Amino acid sequence: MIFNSLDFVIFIIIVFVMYWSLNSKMKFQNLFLLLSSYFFYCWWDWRFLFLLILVSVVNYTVGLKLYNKNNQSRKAWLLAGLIINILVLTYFKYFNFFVDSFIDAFSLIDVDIQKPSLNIILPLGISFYIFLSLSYIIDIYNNKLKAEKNIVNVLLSLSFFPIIFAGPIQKPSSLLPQIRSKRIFKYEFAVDGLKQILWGLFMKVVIADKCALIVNNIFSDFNNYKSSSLVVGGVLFMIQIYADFGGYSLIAIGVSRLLGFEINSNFRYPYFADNFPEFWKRWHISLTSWFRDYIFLPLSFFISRKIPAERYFSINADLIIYMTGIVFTWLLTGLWHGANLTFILWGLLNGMILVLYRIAKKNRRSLIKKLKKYNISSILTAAESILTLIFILFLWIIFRSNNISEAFSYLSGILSMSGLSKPDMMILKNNRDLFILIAIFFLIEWIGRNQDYPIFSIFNKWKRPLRWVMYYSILICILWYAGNEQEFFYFQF
Amino acid sequence: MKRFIKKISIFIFILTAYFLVNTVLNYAIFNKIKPPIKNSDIFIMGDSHPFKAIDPSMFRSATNLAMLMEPYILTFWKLEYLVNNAKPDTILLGFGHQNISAFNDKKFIEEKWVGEMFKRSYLIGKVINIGLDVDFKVYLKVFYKKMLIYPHSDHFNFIDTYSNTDSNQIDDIIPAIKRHFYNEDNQPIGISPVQIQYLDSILNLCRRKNIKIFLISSPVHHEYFSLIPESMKQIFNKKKSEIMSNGFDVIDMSESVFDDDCFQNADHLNSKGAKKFTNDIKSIIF
Repeated sequence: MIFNSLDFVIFIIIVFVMYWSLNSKMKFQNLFLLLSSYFFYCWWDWRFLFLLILVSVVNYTVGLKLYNKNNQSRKAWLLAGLIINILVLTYFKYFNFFVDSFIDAFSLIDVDIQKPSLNIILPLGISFYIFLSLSYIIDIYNNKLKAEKNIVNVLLSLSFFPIIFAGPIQKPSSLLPQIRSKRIFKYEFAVDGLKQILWGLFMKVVIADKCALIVNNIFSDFNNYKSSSLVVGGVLFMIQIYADFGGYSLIAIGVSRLLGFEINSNFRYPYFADNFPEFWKRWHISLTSWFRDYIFLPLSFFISRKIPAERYFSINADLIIYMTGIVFTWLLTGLWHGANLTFILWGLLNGMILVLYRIAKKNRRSLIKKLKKYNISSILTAAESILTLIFILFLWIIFRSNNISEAFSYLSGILSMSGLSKPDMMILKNNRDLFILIAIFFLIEWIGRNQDYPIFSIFNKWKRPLRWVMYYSILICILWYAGNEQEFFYFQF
Repeated sequence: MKRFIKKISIFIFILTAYFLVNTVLNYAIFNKIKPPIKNSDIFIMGDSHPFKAIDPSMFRSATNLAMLMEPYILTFWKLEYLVNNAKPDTILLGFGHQNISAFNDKKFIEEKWVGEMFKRSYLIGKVINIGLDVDFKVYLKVFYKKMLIYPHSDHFNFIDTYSNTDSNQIDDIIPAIKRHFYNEDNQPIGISPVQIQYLDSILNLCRRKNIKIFLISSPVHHEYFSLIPESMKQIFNKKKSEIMSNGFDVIDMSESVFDDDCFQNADHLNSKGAKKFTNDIKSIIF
């Protein structure tokens, strides 16, 4: 059951009605929400529900043990909790990858090892609920969160159905207080949720899924396409992944709002970022802030304690700390996305570009100052924005490729001599409607870029009849393109 | 909450009303206007075989209404509609081995075909009683697109006009045989009781409406014919005998050896072959 399916529409209507009819009894309301979440999860594959429950119960128990400040073995409990969570994630997500890499490594020295015949299926949403679990126990250990005694509340915070499959990663420290307190139905809140769902569905069904058809064709047969078509394929993938994941996040937030929950936004118009670091402050915000809070900052503090001197090998210690922290964090971020060398390379390249930006920080500032004197600093901003988009295009191509060699072949195809030949216009000619829709989509996004989601402000300024005509137009457009439900791209992570 | 439910209800009501008005208008337009076919005594119907094999211009008054990929289910629905709106006196219906093969059932089940089938039949088909495991979501999607959005007159997607070419490339014998008579595991796909049932319905309809019907098996390339599974040939011949014993005319020229340059591909005639074949059946019919 995915958000863009008829099954989900029926499911959410039933849940919405029953949930609010239980409003007078919060305990039942939470229990109902938990059961709904498990039902939602079961719809995909009931076998992995037991894993989800097991992980949740383990973390609930660890949380209670950690909260007891007199407990001498708090550190041991934290360690146990971390190891269990990481082991579960590693086993289901990385077992095959590590085994394959191990076999490949030995094959280099002519040692042939038989691959074990284990076919491990990746449980949907595992990367997300394990990260929620880690947040839960680490925050309790750091005294940022009280351990929850009510098991239903903990289980719900780790399996809340709108965010279980692909986030946003809403830390229990912000979700649990909402679960504990009574939700009151607010008209504006619910309407706002519906608008987010509407725009999210438009992004997914109309933009992402339509782009995906062309992208899949080009990426699966890239050797037979000219440079210009490969660029189009890459650009369309940029649009697809944004519309897909951004759309998913909006629907998740919107559905949560219908149920009276506030979920933090996950995207803030990332392709309108002025520079590369800015892009990563706007893209998949919940994941990047998770890595910042639980990997980058603790690691940086740890390294800073180990490096007392101000300079090492004539390099500023701050820079060394930043470099080590950011590259390691991005290596893990890449690995989080999947057990594939493409993700690792993608993560490392992201980390390295951020380091380059850090190194050039002072020079950039002084250049901007100089340009401001001549009122042409906007040129640098525009150039940086374009450069950022080019970096992102190349990084997404690596991210989308099935393996490293395909990624390099695709990129070398873009940079090949065919780039000098006449561009292949067939893709543009055959998909005029898509390109018009993309143009309208980005125009609306640009106009509404200062809001949580674009249609929040634009249509609110209009009179109701006109506003409703716009909502109807979007809805009819969604229904027009609906029917070939495709899974959300981030479900694979 | 009440305010929310009230607003949502109004929103949905307006949308439903809009859809309803368009649906009614589209039905009215469909029923009001005549199908875009010229008045003819003879209708040529069936799948791509009669579509390519019978040149209507060689008859005094004939229209080729056969269409590529058309299974008997769709032909029956078309005929049901046409006998009430165009009143032909003779039907030439394609009747080949591939018509009774179970591969036709896939056309209402498999994603790559089902959308096209519903696009042709959303106003004339009785999809619920079809007897196959149909994906109704696809039907609803087609119905929504064609009926609910705006009023228009483009509802006759089940009618095409005859066209043929001089091309001559007989290099698809094996793929055509596999597609028509074998499943993905290379096992014979067998016959379709549903298609046979609809063939019988076509015959009964013609008898009821006093329309003369000829079942016509157009020539296929001899190599293609030799590769049709024996079991399929036996069932086909049995059905042919049964139809003939019920008083219907069958003109079976599937085994006729036409020169290679008469074929567009393994199982379809080109314009040269169509002229020759049309002359042949004219001499038999008249």
